Amino acid sequence: MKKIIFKYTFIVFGVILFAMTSCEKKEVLDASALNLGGDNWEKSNVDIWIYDSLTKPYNIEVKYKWDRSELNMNKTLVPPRESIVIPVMTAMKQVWIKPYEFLKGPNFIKEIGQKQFILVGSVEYNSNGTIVLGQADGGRKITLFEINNFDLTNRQLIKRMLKTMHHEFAHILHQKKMFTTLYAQVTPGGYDPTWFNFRDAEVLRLGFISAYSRNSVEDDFVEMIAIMLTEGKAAFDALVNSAGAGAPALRQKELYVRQYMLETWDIDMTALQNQTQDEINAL
Amino acid sequence: MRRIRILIIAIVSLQLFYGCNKFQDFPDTSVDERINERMELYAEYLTDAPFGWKAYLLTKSGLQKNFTFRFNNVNRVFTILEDDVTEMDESSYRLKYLQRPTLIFDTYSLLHLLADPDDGVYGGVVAEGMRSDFEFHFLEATADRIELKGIYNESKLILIKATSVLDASNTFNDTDALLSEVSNLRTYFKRTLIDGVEYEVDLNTADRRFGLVRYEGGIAVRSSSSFYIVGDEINFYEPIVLGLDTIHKLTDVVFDPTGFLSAKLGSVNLRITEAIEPLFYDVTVISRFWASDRQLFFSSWTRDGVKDYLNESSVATLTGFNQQIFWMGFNTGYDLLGYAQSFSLAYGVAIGYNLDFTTGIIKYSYLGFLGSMAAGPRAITLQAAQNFTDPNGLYIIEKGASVYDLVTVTDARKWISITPI
Repeated sequence: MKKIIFKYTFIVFGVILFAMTSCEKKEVLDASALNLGGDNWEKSNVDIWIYDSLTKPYNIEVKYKWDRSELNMNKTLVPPRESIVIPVMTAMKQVWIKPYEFLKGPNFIKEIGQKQFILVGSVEYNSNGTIVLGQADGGRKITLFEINNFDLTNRQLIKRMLKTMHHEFAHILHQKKMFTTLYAQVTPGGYDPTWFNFRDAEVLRLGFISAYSRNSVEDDFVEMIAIMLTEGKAAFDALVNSAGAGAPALRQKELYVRQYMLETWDIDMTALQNQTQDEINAL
Repeated sequence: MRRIRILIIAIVSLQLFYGCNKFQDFPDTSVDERINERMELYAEYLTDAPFGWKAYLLTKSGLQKNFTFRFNNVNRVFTILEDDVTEMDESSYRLKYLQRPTLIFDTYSLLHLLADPDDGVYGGVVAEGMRSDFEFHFLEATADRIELKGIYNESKLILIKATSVLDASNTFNDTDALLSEVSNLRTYFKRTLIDGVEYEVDLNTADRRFGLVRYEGGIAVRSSSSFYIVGDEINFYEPIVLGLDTIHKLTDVVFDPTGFLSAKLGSVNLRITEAIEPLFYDVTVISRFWASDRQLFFSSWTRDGVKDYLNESSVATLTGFNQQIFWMGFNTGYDLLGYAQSFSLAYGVAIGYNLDFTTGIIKYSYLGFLGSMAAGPRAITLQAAQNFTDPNGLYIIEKGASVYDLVTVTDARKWISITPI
């Protein structure tokens, strides 16, 4: 028995020695990968502004310099103008971050918000004649297109871009916590991949807030949130009241949206609408 | 026999040792290290040009444009485009290894106008623009000249180091001067004789293309290329093939006041003259061109080599109708020169057609306009329509699949391009 113990002690000692030798080997390894360049550049005032205004306070990265690997490889796209980055992100911060921050405190966006913005100068064209204005991926990333057209004097365009932002952020929300499956039962037969053949005004009577909301249940849900926020309560109510036969379905969807925001995120939708409107008007 | 075997073994051994010697030349650094060295070298080339680089771009759509770029060592690039040489913009660039050393103009600049998919920005096709690039692989590079190829559309970009401020500005001045010289030949058709053989010369200043065409039994033998101008030389992106020779440039280009253009193509002296009819005219082209309900795009008119001399491009700016659709057989007896946005037609000029299948000539008469348009742009569209009504008709020159030029028969001094939708 003593011999066995001695034998095992010897083996254990050997293993420890081997492990220590292995450690020693690691210390002399020089396996750092070479940097092939292109990922670092001299920081401009735009980079500094992004770091100070979004990265440091909210843990959000903004990629505005061209990186094809972040985008659809088969589409013709262009990068943003540098001069437009700060105005766009200032507006996004004001109309998207501030209302949530006002209602939920400084940690909400830090914890829930996506971690990365990708900015693209142009829209992305689809073969069916439609265009892509924004895209949310995996609850972590939002790609905003059409940045180069940003113009504060063009209120219709600004509203469209801000609506895109709220639309994509609503995707981020439901990608983290899904909304009720009952939502899909409100207008179950109305979803249509050829949604682009209809105008917004035509689909109201079908119980959809916009033509694009017919693309899928998820897009329907986030279109509701985006339009409720960017139009404000009064304009949204007027829109629903003009929907004729579609009004009850829209009211039911609105109810589900309000319940989701309150029960899932503890956010009063009316307060968020009012706060968002204040920020839009202040732009 | 044994001696022969020994000799063979000796030769083979010698060959093996010789082969081994070659391996001694292999670098002792890793691939990544060598890539880094090359990237540093390219960065040094780009930034070590105090007067910048003269840049000659050819897009996939065939548009040739000149720029100057000045790169500094903190990732900034200063760009001038030939369209307005008083405007210089600043943007950023970086070098990155993307399977090959790559130069990326990574924020929007004047260069990106041509690549913008919004056809309202710089023309071209919806969703593709002028099919240009802003990410380029290095093909060849020296301290004085760099050849690049676009990653996405395979545009060609040639950089030549400027030796002075004047040399940099000559990027634009030289081109203007030489194109002006060539534009003294006013007609669409041009001719020259080489070794007793008559050639049609396709010297197109508007599209910056040069080509030679001869006919063998009615079959065209063609060699052509887009070109860029450096100094007093016309340089081809693809060499012109003449017999067994491949020729890269046209030199000594001078217009003689007696009415011809002299130039040297390699060692061949050319005397290029005006012609008001094609060397060979294919009368059957009319049956391939015209078909009822066929829709193609039509360009602005060129006169005496001056593209868009009527300022037809302003119609798109003034009205938003940025598509010019040539709609054959729009209705009984007439074609429509339609103006549209997103293929939604709102206005058009009706021109009555008369097809002559014997001569291959098409004649038009003005009928009137359909729809409404503001008076200013409408006047331009009516002038453009009048050009279709040459009393002697229009030649139809087939340039490629569904690509045609229509040329006035009377004097061959006005022409228009028709391209696929």
